[in-house]
Amino acid sequence: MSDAVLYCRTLATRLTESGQALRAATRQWRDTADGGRAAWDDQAGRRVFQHYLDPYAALLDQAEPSLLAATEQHHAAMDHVEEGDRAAAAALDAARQAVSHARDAANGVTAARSECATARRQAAQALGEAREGLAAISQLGSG
Amino acid sequence: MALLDPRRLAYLLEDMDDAIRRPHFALDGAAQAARLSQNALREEVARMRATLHSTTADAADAEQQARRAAGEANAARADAVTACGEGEMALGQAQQAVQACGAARARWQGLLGQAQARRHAAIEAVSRAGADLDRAKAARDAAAAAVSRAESALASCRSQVYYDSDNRRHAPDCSAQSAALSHARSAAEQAARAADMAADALRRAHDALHEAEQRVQLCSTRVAQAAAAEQRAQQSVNVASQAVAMARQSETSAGRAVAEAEAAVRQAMAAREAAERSLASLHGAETRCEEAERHVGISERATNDAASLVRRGRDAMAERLDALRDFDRPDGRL
Repeated sequence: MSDAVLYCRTLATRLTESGQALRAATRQWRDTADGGRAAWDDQAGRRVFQHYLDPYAALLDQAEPSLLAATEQHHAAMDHVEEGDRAAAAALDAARQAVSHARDAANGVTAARSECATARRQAAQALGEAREGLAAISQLGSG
Repeated sequence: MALLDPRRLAYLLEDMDDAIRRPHFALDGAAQAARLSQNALREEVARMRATLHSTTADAADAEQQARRAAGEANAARADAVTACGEGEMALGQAQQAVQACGAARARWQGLLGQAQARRHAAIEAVSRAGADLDRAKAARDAAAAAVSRAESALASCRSQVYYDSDNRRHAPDCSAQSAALSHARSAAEQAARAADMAADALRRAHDALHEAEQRVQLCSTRVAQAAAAEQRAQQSVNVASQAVAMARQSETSAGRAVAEAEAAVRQAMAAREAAERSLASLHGAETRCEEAERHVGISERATNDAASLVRRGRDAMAERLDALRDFDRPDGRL
């Protein structure tokens, strides 16, 4: 795991912990608010709860799953990143091996071409000499 | 409904004022942590995209090199096979030339033997003709001497003329000498003809010897020429054998190159497939990142909205707390 990935993982973990802290604080607030709602049950209290405190609780209820979802998405994204990094490293390794094999093949081709050129030159020389020999023999006559 | 003791409500409001801030602080901290994590994730995804771009280019380059190497290796192997064929054909021709040269040399060697035998016979014929000529010449000379003697005898005979008492001339009878002379002359002519014939025979024998010697010379030259051609043909066999060996070596080298190139193509394809997997992962990470961004945005907006609600809620609770304090203060102070 690279340092960057490790850092992202750490941040995602910290985000998870922050979410847990939020959950705890929200629960505590809800308990406190329930007590306050029961004690402050007049018009002003209901107005405060209706306009501020209940929407606040609703916001917390809305934010908490979003943070949880964000955390899950971050972890999932990091899984993809790690998987992608592994695949990229494999691709790079395979590409390097391919280049190495291709280089060896090119060297082999160079050797083969050189040997082939020598062979064809020798074959042409031998063929020419053999034909000259046959021509020379035919010129000797039958006697 | 029964209202609580104002003092107790005041305590509750103070507790609520304290408790309402904690979730907000926690939410704010979580939203900041989410933003930090989101930013780091974005950077990481961007890094991955850049890396993958480079890796994909490397994989494509490797595949291009591998396919080019495979093409060249296959072409080299085809050339090597062609060179093998050419070498084997040259070897066949060279071996045929060696056989032809060897056969020609053997034939001319046989003809040389015959020519040498004919020359030997011609030499003997010349020798015999020379001896015959010598004998013919001796016979001719002997015949010529016989003619001279016969002539002398005839002349001697003819000179023996005498006159009798009547003075009549009496010629001797030389018919025998005359006949002898005629016979001698005839024999001399025959000997001369025989000598001439012997001389002709000697000339013919010399001619035959000359012709035989020329034949020997021709055959010797042909044998030497055939031997030289055979030697060159044998050299061409050696060169052709080297060509075949070299062509096979080239075929082996090209075969190895083909195997290496095929391995290169396999690795390049594996690289491309891995790069495609990495790209799919990148797309997955980007999708997750965008989804996370949406949730982080929701959290941030919730944080901002919560800040407003917390502030206004606290203001309202503080207002009520102040009222409670005023209500509970006997002298106007709680």
